[in-house]
Amino acid sequence: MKQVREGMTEHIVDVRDLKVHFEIRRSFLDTLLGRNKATVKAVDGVTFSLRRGEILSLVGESGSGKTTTGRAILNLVAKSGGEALFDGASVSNRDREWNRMFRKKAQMIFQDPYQSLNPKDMIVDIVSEPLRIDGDHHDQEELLARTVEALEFAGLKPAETYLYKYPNELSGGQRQRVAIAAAFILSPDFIVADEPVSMLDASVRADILNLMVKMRETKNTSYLFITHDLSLAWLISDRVAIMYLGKIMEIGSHRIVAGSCVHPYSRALVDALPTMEEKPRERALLKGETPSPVKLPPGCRFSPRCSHVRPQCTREEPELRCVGEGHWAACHFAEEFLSKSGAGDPVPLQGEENPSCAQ
Amino acid sequence: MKLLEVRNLKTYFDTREGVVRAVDDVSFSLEKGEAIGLVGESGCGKTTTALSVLQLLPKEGRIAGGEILLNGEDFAAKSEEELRKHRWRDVSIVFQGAMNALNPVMKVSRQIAEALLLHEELTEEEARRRVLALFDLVEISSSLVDCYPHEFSGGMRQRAMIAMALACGPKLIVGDEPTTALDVMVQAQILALLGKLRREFGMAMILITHDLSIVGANCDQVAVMYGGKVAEIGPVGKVLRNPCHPYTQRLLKAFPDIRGEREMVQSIPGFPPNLVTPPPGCRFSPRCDAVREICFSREPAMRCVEPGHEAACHFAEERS
Amino acid sequence: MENAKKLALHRKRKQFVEALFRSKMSLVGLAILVFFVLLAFVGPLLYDYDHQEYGAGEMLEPPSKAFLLGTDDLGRDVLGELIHGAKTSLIVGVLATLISMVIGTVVGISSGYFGGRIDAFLMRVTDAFLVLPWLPLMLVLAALLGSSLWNIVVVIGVTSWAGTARLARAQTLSVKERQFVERARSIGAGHVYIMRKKILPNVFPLIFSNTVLVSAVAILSETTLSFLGMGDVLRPSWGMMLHYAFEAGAVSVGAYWFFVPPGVCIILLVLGFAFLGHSFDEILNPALRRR
Repeated sequence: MKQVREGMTEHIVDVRDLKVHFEIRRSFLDTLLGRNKATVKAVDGVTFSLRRGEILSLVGESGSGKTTTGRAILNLVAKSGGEALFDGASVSNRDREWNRMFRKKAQMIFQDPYQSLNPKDMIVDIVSEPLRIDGDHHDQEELLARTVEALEFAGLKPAETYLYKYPNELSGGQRQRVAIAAAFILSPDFIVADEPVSMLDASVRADILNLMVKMRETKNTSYLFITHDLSLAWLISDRVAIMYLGKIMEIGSHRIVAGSCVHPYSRALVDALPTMEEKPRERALLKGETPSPVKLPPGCRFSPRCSHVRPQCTREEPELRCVGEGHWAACHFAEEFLSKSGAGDPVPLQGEENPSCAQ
Repeated sequence: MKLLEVRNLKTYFDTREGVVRAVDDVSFSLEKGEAIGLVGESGCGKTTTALSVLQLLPKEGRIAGGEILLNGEDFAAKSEEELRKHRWRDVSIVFQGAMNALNPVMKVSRQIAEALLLHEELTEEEARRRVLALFDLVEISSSLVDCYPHEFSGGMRQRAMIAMALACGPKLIVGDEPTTALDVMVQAQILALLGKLRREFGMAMILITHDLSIVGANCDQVAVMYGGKVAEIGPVGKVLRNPCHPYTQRLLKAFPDIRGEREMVQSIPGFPPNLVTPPPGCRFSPRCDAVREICFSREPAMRCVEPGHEAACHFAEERS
Repeated sequence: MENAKKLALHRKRKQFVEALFRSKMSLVGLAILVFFVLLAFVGPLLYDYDHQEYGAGEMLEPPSKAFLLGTDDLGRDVLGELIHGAKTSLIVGVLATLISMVIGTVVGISSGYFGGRIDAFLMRVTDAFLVLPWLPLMLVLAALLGSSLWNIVVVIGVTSWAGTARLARAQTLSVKERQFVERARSIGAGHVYIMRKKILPNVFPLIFSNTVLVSAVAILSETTLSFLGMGDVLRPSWGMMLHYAFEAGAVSVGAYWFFVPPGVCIILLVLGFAFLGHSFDEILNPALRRR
């Protein structure tokens, strides 16, 4: 069984067996009848690391736990188990100094540009806010100068025309740029981008995506890019992790995801992507929908919908293991699919020393 | 005779800021059993066009010109009374976000039955049997016949909406972004279902979407809309392979294709036009990268680039 | 730069004022309130009246040239009492409402934001105040504290905050879930900062329009207390006029000039607040706006 290699490379974010479970409130009657507490296992053992300057996408459908994972890494939601490390230290530690630094160095960009900006605040206040509450003293001139710089970096030029407007006077794309400016102003090392473009028209998405790439290039910012859109993840990331019902099913470089993924769920996802062709391809669509994370099936959580299911799948839950260079999958029979997908000879499972299996 | 002919449709909204020309001279047609995709971004007028066909406009909206010919009869000129007879029997609609379209305190089967009973004389027994048959058609298990909307998943609710839309056997079904809020897998399932039902019943379809990548496999024709007008229209294969309008060309580059080259997507700079005071000349001119003098003063007419394929650009032929 | 900011704020306020003047209802409400404010504060300067001057005229004299609205049962000028009494109703109404709004907003926002046990506790207290019959409660408190003007203000304020608290809490619960609050938390904002800068500005418009309506209720409460005899004897007030009119049997004697004017004034004042409050609601709460 492969473990995540420790200390091999400089990882800015290190997540190990992260779990976030929510208890569902029971009615009084349930308590009386002694029914067991129902838990939603939103995130149920997620492990990965993020190198400095890397863009990693977390892809999944609703109920996959990708959004909750992102929030848990930023300590916006309490974890129920496992570890989330930022720059080597746990994100849930209580040290005030460290937390102040953490809140400066790790930022989030939200999905809904219509909800992530306070309608009562002016743009200048929104963008300068992280500076004003970071604990260091900044005078008015510095605040204004850095706000203007951030807005122009985000493509809102000339910044002066935007400073004193309210969010409802801007379009969705412009609001998202304001959100990015507000995230950028502290020069963070790590950003969690939660579906930053899914609510924008296709023709304005590129600008926002390009901005994110620009930040990575100029400041070596690392990204955790959360999305349901596999094509977007493939386009913009170095690596893609596909989640299902709270666990990572497969993780690998964008090349692998495009051509040679092995997990049946990943393959189904890739297959389901619409393309600009004229005639419908022959596709094997999955039946049904993602079940609720309350009642997880025994063994592999994908087994009820898997077309390649075998007895072992319902008995034993597969661990995320190395199946190729930088390529990990949680399936008992990953190797068979590897050869089927034509990715060359399957890489035999080796001992701990195989460096190419480092994440 | 074509099933649907929309000719020079104009739908305007009266607001405090002025008259919003949401749909400004739109024309297209559908044969029986054919599917057309109305593609465009926010504010282009695609939803308003579909609502005009069904005459479900809000009270500030009015059809200011043009004709909507369903089997030869002009719907734009009909009264509310007459329309009610035709709505649902001839044309029905599947909305986006089924959760908002379904009544949360009524069982789903009851709501579908309601659609039936409004148009046909049926006993409770017969209605129930029809509802079960519809459930079967849209692949919802009959054991769920007594459920409420919140007990259905997103995909199932959308299937229920489709069942409701099919209830009276319409000749034309309008899908207003029917899969936009759904997971990609469910989206693929719903679109496959719509395709299967269309083939089985010979239904025509107007598919409204902002996602250009789904029209290829699901529609016969595509009309790309911009600023209340049709920018380009034609058989879907021809338009996708040989786009002639600058907007269509740019829009195609905004959708990544995992089976193609890994090229960064491109944005279109600028904003959608103000529909109260649209720019003179071509509405896309402020944002067009191939713009010339004439584009700012004269509105382009639809020019034919191939049989059945037209684009509203002064230089359409050159660009093909 | 600062000027640009001031300009932007000015622009927003102008929009609000314009919306206010567009609505007929708010114009009527404003007109009524302006009239009564002038009556209460400018009137006494123009019209002399001594509340203690008994026997200025005959008892219960009908309107005449000397006394435009006649005299009351102690021979006092009714018109004078009316003009000088306006202040009482207004001051009590507004001040009591302010107290009620402050208590209600603080309780409601804290309750909604923190949730859990704090919420449970505060809401039980709020429920108690909502459920207790307000009139007996007010009477008891008034009897205990004495019937000076300021005590009445406190009594009304302390018994009427529960509705505002409920409203504030409900709105806080919804605002709390919005992403800009989560964003504030993600950049390290503390609880008090978030409540002050994110929750309060978004809750305030709703509270404000509700408050104007609460003023109407506060005025009526003061009137009721005074009518029942708990008012401040030393100051002229419309409620006390009704009290004395009732005691003196003005209704049976047909001395309409004694009880009709204060009654009408109270109704008009309450209507004024109600109209204004309702139109504020429409302006500040976009969901209610007619399309």
